[in-house]
Amino acid sequence: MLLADLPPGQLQLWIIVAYLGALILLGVASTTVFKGTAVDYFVASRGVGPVLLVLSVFGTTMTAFAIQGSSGEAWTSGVGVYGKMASWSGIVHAACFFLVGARLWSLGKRYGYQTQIQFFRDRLESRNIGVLLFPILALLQMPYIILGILGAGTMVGVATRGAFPTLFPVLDAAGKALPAHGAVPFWLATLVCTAVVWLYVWLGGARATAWANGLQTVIFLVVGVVTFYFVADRLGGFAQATKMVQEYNPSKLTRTVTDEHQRIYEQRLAEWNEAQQSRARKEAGETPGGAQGGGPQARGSEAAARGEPQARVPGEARGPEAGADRSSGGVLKPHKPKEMTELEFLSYGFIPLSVAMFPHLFQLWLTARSAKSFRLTVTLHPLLIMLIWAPCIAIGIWATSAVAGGKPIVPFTPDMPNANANQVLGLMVASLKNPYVSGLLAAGVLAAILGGMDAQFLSLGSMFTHDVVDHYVKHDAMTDRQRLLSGRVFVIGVVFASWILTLLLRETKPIFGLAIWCFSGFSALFPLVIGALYWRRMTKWGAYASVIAGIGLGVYYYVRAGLSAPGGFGSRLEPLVTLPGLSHEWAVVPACPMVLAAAAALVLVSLLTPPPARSTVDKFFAAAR
Amino acid sequence: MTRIAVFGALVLLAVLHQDFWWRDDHRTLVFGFLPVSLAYHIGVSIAACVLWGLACRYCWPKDLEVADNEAASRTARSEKG
Repeated sequence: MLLADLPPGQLQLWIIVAYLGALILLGVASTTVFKGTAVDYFVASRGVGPVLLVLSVFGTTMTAFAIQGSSGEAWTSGVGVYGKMASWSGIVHAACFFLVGARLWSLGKRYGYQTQIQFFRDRLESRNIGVLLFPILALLQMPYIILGILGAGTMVGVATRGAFPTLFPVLDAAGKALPAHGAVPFWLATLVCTAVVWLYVWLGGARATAWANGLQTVIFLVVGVVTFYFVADRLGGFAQATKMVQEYNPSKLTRTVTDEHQRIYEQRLAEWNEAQQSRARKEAGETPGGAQGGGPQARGSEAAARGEPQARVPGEARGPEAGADRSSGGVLKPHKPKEMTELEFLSYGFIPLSVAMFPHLFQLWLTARSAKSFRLTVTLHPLLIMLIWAPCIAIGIWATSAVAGGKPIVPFTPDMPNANANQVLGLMVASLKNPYVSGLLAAGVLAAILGGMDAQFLSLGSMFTHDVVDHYVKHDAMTDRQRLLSGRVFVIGVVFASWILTLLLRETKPIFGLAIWCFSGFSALFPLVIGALYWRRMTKWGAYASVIAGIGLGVYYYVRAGLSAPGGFGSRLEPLVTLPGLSHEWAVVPACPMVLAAAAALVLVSLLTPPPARSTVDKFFAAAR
Repeated sequence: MTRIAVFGALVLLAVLHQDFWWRDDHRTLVFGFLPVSLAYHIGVSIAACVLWGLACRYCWPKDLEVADNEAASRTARSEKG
């Protein structure tokens, strides 16, 4: 049987199966160099070289949001998304790797740390800092894991629609096939994905995680470029795709809303309304006089109603007037222009500070062979971000004004109740009607999701083992073998608990909103780690005050946003806050005041409390003199 | 001096990130399809890559090199032992 003869969804399924199979093979291959020790399991014996480090750190840092979410966010908010998220991340992530990552690696190597809390316990002379930090780190991480599993299950479900209609029928009461008919069910897709991640983490620990992340990075870089090329071609070429946006949604190409943007929006909206009315009249059997006698927009909408192809397809002539006015008038509902303030744009620079305190990234940093290994990561990270984000952002912007077969490719606009920005990239790829690209996209999104999840499972297992069991139950006296066993058992526990929680919380909307705020929570811990590494005068009381002030402010903002939102905590809580009495013009991301409050509390309380012991300062700063 | 120049350039890059001058320009396209603001920020990403590369080359902390040497000698000792 030829691949092209397979039922819909099956080719995509086999691409996903091949990808998951490759992950298991990597896990098995990593066992051939596994040394059987806890250090090897948790931090790969600190032997990962520069190339694998750059790929694995990048793969772990980029979540599904980098592929799926970035397109959706650009479709919603326009071109400013690249600047506020990707180019800020390029600058700030590299700074965190340079200033925090390499230095934590050297201290971890010298004193044998395997978790962040072990480092903070020594640096702050506080045996119980973990009591405060552990629940915060674990709680901030869990929504990511759950969202990752949710995303994996959804992606497999969408990609495999129609694959097994007899095995997994999904019919309505009248026996009519629903969209999910024949797709691999959610419970099974999530079970298989988490089981595969668990298997290779169990087999090879940090080394398998690093290898898998390396593969995943390569996959989603390829996916980004391939999708970009095919989508542009489907829309009549790069220039034509952008020209449509200039003519229909020009505000998506800027961060502001000008009078011209507003005028174009009103004009296009009037055309769309007219076309809707014309269509309604036709359906009611009236004479479509207005539409027939109308201008090019109305004629375009008629063409659309007849289902004539309007997007440029490969091979078609591409004139300067092609595509836009002639074919899409009235078909596309324009997006209401939305402004991004300069302060909001600036404040997004606080979000990427979060990477300095991601437990799973800390775990990967410790796998480095040397501090020098970080140099390639610091240098290439901004470029890799650009390679994955720029194509996805461009696709998201094009999606606002893309038409195929006389219909908008994305059948909703951001102001509609059924709008789902996360579907934008999938819809653009689906319009290609190319199962190979769809399958590749599914594998790419899965790669982005699983690439973060494996390191998160491992780091939570490590934290449970070292910071809870070893420290509090065994009083730091566990043998290496016990640590290895405990780590593996806890990883099973974390994987299983995450899967069950995902099934339970699948329909619970607050989990989506909460995850957006978790970045801010990690950012609020940035002053803690930077103070611990660079400020000798920082005290444990300053650290406690910093964590309580930063996280406390975040909880306050989250609860306030949830209580004041029309849909309560179930709605998407806009991650923007203002000081009381200030207008929306002054809104910033919560991370901004949280980081500032945490830094102020750290400095103030440290200066008011006795300095750390001389021996502690010497231990952590002697080499830096 | 090199250290100041490189870190100064990185701070300048962070300042230049706030490209308010393209804020309302939806007409200018780079290479005929890239909105100018997006093209500019792609340039910022490339500049960040270059500048952080220079920072790693010329401003790498001395104590991290010491840490590397310590680690290497420890590994060598353990392999001998």
